Amino acid sequence: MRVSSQQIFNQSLQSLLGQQAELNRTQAQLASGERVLTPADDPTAAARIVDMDRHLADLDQYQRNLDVGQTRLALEEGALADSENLVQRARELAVQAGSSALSDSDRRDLAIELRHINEQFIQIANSSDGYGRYLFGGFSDSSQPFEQSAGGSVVFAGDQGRRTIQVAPGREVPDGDSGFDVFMSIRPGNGTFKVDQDTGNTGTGVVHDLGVADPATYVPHSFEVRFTASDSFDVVDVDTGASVLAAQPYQAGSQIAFNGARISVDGAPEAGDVFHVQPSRGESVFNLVSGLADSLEAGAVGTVGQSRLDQTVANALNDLDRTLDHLSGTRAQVGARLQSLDNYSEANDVLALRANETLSELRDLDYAEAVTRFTRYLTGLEAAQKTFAQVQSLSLFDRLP
Amino acid sequence: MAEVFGIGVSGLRAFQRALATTSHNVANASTDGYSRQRTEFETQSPQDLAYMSLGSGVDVAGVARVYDDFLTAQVREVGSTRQQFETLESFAGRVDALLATDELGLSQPMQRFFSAMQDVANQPASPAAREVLLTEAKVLSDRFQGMHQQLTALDGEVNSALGQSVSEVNGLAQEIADINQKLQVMSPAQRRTANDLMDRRDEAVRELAGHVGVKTLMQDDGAMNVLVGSGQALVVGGQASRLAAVPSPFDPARREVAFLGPNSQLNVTSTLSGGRIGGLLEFREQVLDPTLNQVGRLALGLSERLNAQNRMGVDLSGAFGGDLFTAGAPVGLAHAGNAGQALVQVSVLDPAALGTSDYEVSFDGSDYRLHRLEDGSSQVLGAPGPFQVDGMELTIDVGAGAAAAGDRFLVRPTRQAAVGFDTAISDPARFAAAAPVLAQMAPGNLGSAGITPGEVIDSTNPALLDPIEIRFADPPTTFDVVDVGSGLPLSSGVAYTPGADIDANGLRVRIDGAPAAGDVFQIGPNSAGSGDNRNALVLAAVSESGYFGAGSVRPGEDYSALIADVGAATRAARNGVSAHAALHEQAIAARESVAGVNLDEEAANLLRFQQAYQAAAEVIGVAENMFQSLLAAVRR
Repeated sequence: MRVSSQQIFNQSLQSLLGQQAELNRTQAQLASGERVLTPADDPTAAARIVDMDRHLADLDQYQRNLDVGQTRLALEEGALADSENLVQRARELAVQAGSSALSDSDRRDLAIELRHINEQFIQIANSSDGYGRYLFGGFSDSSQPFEQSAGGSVVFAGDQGRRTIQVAPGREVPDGDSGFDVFMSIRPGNGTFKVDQDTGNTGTGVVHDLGVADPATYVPHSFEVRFTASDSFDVVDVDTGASVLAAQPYQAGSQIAFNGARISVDGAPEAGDVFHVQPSRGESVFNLVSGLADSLEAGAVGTVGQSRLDQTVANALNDLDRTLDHLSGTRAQVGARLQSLDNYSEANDVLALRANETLSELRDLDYAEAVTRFTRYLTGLEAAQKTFAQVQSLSLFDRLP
Repeated sequence: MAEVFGIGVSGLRAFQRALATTSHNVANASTDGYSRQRTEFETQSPQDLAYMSLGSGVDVAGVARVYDDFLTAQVREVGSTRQQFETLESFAGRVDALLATDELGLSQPMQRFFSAMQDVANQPASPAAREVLLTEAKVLSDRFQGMHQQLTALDGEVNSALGQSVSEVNGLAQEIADINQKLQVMSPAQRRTANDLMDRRDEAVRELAGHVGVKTLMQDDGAMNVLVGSGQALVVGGQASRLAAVPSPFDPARREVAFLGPNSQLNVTSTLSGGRIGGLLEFREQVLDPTLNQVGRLALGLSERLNAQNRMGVDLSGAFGGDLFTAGAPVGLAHAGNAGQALVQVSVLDPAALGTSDYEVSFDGSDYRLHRLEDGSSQVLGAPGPFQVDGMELTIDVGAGAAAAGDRFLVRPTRQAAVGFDTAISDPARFAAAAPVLAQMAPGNLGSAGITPGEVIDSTNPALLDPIEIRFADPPTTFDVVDVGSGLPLSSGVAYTPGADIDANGLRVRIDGAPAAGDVFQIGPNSAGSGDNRNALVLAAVSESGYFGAGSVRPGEDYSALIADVGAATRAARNGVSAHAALHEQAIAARESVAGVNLDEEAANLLRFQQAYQAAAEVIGVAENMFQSLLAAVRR
């Protein structure tokens, strides 16, 4: 084919420019280390890179959320452990108080320590979450949740809100518990009902060994065991006024069963003595401790007083055990949550690793390949330059005479 | 003897001409569009004698250009397409880079906004976390506006490039017409040798085709007619018409191309293709408008979704949240040529159902008809409206006057949304991180049932914050919902199903577990300054929940899909460029192989004609010698 001079020039120049453009592109890739310089280089990969970047940033955020959750839950766990220790100490004091060898003044000393324990309890319940908010306040965590009222009882001013944090897409984990659930919801007695002596009792009867024999027939009403004589009693449903059992013979230590529940009465009750059997409602741990302190301060006079004290101590020991169960149950839950945060954290790490791998596949330059390419274009460019110069220097005019 | 002299002179003259032509070729070796020329020789009419005819020398029959119509047309046409792709690629590549750059794109600020929202969810009452969130909200707003401005700036560039191309088209058309005129007045013989003029005209047409695709038609009188668009005659003989960049009848800020006839102007925008103008128009239609619309839809969708959720919650002061963001309103534009006075007003009903297309509404005198510009589909809306279609509501406003038959309107649901995207709050406390209500169990409940904290399903319910109680009956198989203020039941004797939704006053709770008779659950307003993060969690989850495309596409995915779309369009244009560049090079090589000047060839010709010239001169010398010999013989 005929070739024009202009064409020879243009073609050489085009090839030169083409090589230069490719060289330039490869150099930009090498400089940035990225395979995809603009989305047009690989539109699908570009979109996936954006998605992956977002995914990684999400995982980063989840990790930050996890850190916040871990801080709070660790604080809660510490507070619960401290609370358990306090309950243990209160229990020891209650055991001591039950001893008949103690004088009233000894018991008052115990009461003083119990009051001290209660103050510590309130302090723990009002502890901060590390971010300047109250750990156990529920959603109302800006003001102090537990206040001691003028009458000595502790009032919960927070709410039952329980915050959750996001730890993975669509997965939320509570990062705390409301003080209501932790400190205000101890079910005394056996959790279903509780018993006590009437304060006007003149006998030495003590009630204990509570049990639910038949949950199906149990009705949460208040009942009274009324002794009509020292060896005979009735059981009355206070809510309805109906008589449940009438003129039952009393034998010390024997079981009394009614309403699907059973109790035992020990000692020697007198005619007119009453034992209350009431549904167990949520009670605050502070009131349980201060109630015990109150009883110890009141002292015990004679056998009747001793039996009152026995009843109080027996109830207190039982309730403190239930408190301990409640606290350690909550603590186990917190531990489980911490564990699950750890699991999520590890899962997020694995996901991040995979995402980074994918991202690297999508985005990162294969240096070996790129350097080879670079060398190839460089050689090509040099060849194009040399041939350009040589071809352009060829002309028949040079040979004309 | 005289014959020899004459023949020698004819040779001298012919080779002089040939040398001149060769020099002309050498001189124009680098002239664009030049076709090499060749002197054509023919023998002079022979001297007829009775018994034979004698040759009487050479004549120059003409100077012809070596030229192939088909190859020239191919260079022009392929070049026109190549120019279109190059223009498209260079503009689309800029949109592409804009979308994907971290510093300019929307992906990062969106991500950071939602991250900051999570941080607020972690510490709902923390002023620092809220301040960061507000800053990120402002960054997001700036980025949306910046994106729109950058894209609009590209639109402006398209406008001015269209204007430039149109004026160059007019100049070239005039040049072609002038050359036509010169050729028309020539005699056919003159015209045949008007090589340079015809080269110049071909070159002008080639340049013209670089601006807009053209068709050419030759006239018998040597004039070339040039047609554009759907057959508008840009050049007829010695007459050139003009194109003009005129404001779009719908949107005066946008330029379109009109063909100026003798008495009227015709908008030919939709019929133009090829060349720079074709590339500009294609970019505007295929890349710029969809990108603007999709960015706008993202802005609109995000603001609507986040605003709706923020209104569901309460802020730090305990007041209901308001709008977090504003977005630009949809636009309805009337055609400048409408005879009627009616206007179309557009409002968005459901951003999730919005597409990215613009629409044209036309009125035929009795019914309105909607054309979706993206796919060309159309449907009859009827009259008089309002019409609800594709997530928007169209209202025909006849306040200023009724619509006339043939009236047209352009509807752009999302075009202005991004530029109007702004942060609507300035106080970080206004982020509604908390839910307005809280459900709790009453202290002293006997059962073990628990209640969810409650969620808002209708934040506009006026009784939403009224304290209510759910009271279980004896036996606890049914419950009443009671308004505490009035003591009146909202519903009573409702059968208890564990875990079932209980809706009242625009809120929803669920109770699970075993309640006891007389158990009470209290629902009331949440406290101010609350550490509640329920609404913040939902706000943050907007990034994870499908929304666009009728609930299947998340905001971030919507954006990365846009990047992929524009990237694919740019890539297609880039492929078009390289394919057509190769074709163009081939076409040029083919044309050059016929019409191009080869200097070596010319050097050889130079040598050849020089030698022939010298030989012819020798012939005259010989004739002179013969004459001198004759004279000498006679003188003696």
